[in-house]
Amino acid sequence: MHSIVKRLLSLSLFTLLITFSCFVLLRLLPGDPVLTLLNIDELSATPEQIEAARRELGYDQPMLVQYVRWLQDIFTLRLGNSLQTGRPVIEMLLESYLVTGELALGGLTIALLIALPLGIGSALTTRRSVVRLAHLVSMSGAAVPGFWIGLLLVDLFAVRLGWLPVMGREGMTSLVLPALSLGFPLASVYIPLIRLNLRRELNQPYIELARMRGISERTILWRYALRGSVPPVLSVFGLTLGSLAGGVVVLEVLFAYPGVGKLMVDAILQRDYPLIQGYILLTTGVILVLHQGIRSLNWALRPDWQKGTHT
Amino acid sequence: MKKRWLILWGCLLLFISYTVFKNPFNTNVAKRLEPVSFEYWLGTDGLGRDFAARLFLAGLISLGFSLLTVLLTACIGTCLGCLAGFYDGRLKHLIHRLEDGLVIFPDTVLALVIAGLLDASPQSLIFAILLIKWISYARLSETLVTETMQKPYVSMARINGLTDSMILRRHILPPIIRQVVVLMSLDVGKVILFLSAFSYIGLGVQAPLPEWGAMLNEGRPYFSSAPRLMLLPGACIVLTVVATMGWTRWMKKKGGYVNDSDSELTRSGETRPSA
Repeated sequence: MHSIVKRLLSLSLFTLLITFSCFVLLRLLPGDPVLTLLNIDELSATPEQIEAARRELGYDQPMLVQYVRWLQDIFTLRLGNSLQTGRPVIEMLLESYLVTGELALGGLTIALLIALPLGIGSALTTRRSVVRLAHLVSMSGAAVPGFWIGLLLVDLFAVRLGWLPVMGREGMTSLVLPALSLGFPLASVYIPLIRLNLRRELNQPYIELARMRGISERTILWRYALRGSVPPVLSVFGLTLGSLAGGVVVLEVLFAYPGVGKLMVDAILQRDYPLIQGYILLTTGVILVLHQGIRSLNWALRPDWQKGTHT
Repeated sequence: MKKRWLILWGCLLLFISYTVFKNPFNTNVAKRLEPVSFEYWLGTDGLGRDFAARLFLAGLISLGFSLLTVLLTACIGTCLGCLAGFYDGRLKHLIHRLEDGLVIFPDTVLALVIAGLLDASPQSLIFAILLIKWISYARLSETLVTETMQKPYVSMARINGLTDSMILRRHILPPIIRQVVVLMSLDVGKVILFLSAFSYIGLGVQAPLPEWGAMLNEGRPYFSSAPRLMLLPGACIVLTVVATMGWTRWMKKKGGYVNDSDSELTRSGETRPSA
């Protein structure tokens, strides 16, 4: 219990550090949100107008005052208002996190559907064709950009055949194409990973011992070998989840899917500072928590890892 | 082998001269979406620019960007890794903390954040990639340095009175460089993919410079009328990445790596003959 509290404390300190450095960086760098907001260049807006907008948004205060004000916003769980839409940042972010979560779930499902059979199958079999197939799928998944697959799929199934919607988010059918183009590159990471770890686990002496004791092959595979090969795969899975939590940027833009990635790309192009700050804060928090969660899960599965430096 | 290189250089020269003659930036609205012809080898794009010339220039940009980024990353990562491996103590601790702090951040998230903090440009992409990728180089070289430090010839060199920097340069770096180069060649393809994805959404290479991902975005409205505008840049990306993969494989074989798994870098021990 004590260690959990300590961890949480250090996590929140780390997050605070990140927020402060991001805040300072954002303010020091060029690009004026007020000018972008007024959407006019310096020539056409009168200095009084700019000054008024600046005062209204609180950008005329000293930096430390602005930071403290933002911290207040964090603790009231509102994170301020977006400069472009005027809505609370937290509301916009949560909305788009849900959309991204939906997309990530679809992509992960596809990835698992491809990677589990191919990875496990190619680890167990000695048949060359299966190993070749697994290798081919993982190679092509690593080499083909996901958004290109998406474009080609859209052209085939949405434009030419008209089976599925081209873009946007209406119902389950609009999820199919993005999930496919997300799942295929994801699967390419997991096929060799599952195969390698399962093979390594199957070569361990304890598996041989189990065989000698007459435990059936099925039990050995499901109860022993697969369980042992989970932690390394889970570590990578944590990284995948983290990167999905940040938004499936390119695919969201391609399919006009209103997720976090798309929200951020728009925010960056419009210099919407409160939104960018909120994103950095929330995503960092989510990633840290995910990372810690995966680590604890691995400790539960493999207590011997706790002593080592594995993460 | 010689003949193959000759053909390669010949093709390169041909494309360079073609690109020079057909300016890839010249727009000609009267000649929009021209089909493939002798004058325009791969036709023209939506603004009447020569597509073949743009495709070639985009390739040069992608490769140049990728090589530069990977080289920079490898230099920084290897230096820090060597330092951490060579000098035990506070510096090592600091470098480890830095690695642990950064490694959990996914590259796309970091690239987005940095594009948000700085600017949507290739420079911020380089910075983001640098921030993420140096870790793998640092970890690799640190492991190798710690391993090499235990070799008797290092103690021998120390007994003979060589300075730290000389030991590092003469005895420790050379075996590391070979392994780092293999890792680099794998990363070149990855960085090209990354750049094309970010250029596609407009946060990478900016117009009017061509880039394969950006070209995919430009060609999207004309998908049904001129599918080559979408097919060729994508195919170029895939071919380049596959080429870097093949190159990595070849180097692993040459450099004493044993291709144990499909993707893991496993170093061959002294007892095992290199494949």
